[in-house]
Amino acid sequence: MNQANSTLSDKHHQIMLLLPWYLNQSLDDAERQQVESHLRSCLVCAREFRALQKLATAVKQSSDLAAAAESSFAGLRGKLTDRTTASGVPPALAEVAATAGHPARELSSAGRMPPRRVSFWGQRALKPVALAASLLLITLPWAMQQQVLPLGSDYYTLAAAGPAQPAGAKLRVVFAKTVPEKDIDMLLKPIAGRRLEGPNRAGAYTVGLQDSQEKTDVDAALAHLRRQPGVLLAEPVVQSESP
Amino acid sequence: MLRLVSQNLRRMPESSLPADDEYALLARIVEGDTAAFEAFYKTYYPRLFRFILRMTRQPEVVEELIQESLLVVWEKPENFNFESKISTWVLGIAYNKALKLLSRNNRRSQDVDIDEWADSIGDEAANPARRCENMDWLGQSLAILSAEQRAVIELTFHDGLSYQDIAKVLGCPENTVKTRMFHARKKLQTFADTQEVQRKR
Repeated sequence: MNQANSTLSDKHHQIMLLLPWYLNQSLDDAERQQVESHLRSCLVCAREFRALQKLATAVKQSSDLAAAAESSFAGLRGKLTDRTTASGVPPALAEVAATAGHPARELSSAGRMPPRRVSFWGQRALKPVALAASLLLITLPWAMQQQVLPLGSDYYTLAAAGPAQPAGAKLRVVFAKTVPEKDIDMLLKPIAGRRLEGPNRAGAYTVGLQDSQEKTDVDAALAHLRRQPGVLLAEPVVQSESP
Repeated sequence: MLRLVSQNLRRMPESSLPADDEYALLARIVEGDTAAFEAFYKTYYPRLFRFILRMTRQPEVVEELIQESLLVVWEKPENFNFESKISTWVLGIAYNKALKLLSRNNRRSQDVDIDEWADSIGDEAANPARRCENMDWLGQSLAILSAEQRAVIELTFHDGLSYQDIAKVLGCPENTVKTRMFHARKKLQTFADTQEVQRKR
């Protein structure tokens, strides 16, 4: 009996610990269901939940900080200038470039990946990119042999049409500042990409790929873009499922 | 006074970017693009402002800590390891810098008398940290908590983070996050009860 009471008490305590995150709706389904079930029968937790709601409402109060952000960055701008080389490249990159005996700007303009950028991709995307690049190497010659669409066409697929897949796949792409506007479409041509929107305030374009793309085609397109010196970022746009 | 000022707070949706755009900005920051850094800075400023002020309760250090934290993003964007959200990384930087500063000043968990530093920070209207703290009736209650407990409360209720993400920001086990919140709630409840008793006298 005592053991049963102890178990109930433990469960009550565990649920009480979860209440703040039940309130902010960040629990996973299993935990959320546990809390909901417990709340229906536990007056103590129900009262605690109401108290947490009041606390959350108070904490959420916000103030107008947009103007403060503006002036704060203006104050920081001087420091940025001080810490940046004449080429506009941050000191970390400039140091690496200097060590290698190259001005940092030359590294970029020569189409080589600057050291910081290697690191950026290297940590997250190197393996997927390598895999996708391999897929591209495998599938592209085959696709070209199939002549699904003539080269030079504005629209062609990278592989033969397969079962219907994510229709109208979209990518988010950021181009280097050194890429002229007119060259963007040329960069997108090999993947049958088309600018749909952009650039947004983050400098990103939304690029549409041709309908009925295989997932491997999307991966291959991403890999292709990521290999281009003028592309800083290429990511698939995750579209939320319609209800 | 503290109850009155809450009515004056203007609700403003703090600027935030979709996660995709944050990655886009970070990619440009890696390239040394100052415009991207400016956009990133302005996106995170309100969030860090609140977080640091809530945690430290020292308005005079907020600006400095925001700049120091975001300069890390500018100078070492390659330190982002892609194992968490960008926001988790940035908040973690700010949290650690704030903790270090509090430790240095040996003022952790101490209640701060706003008038104490009034002269040092000048005109209230010109100082958003001062204005915000003065207007924050909750601040008085939260003053009894530790900086770590205030951080958990802010990240949970303002930023809507899961306890797992908060554990990443704070660099502690998930259970520690839960118990910090639990003990914070106990303290707040005791404080509120005491205030209520005093009010009725």
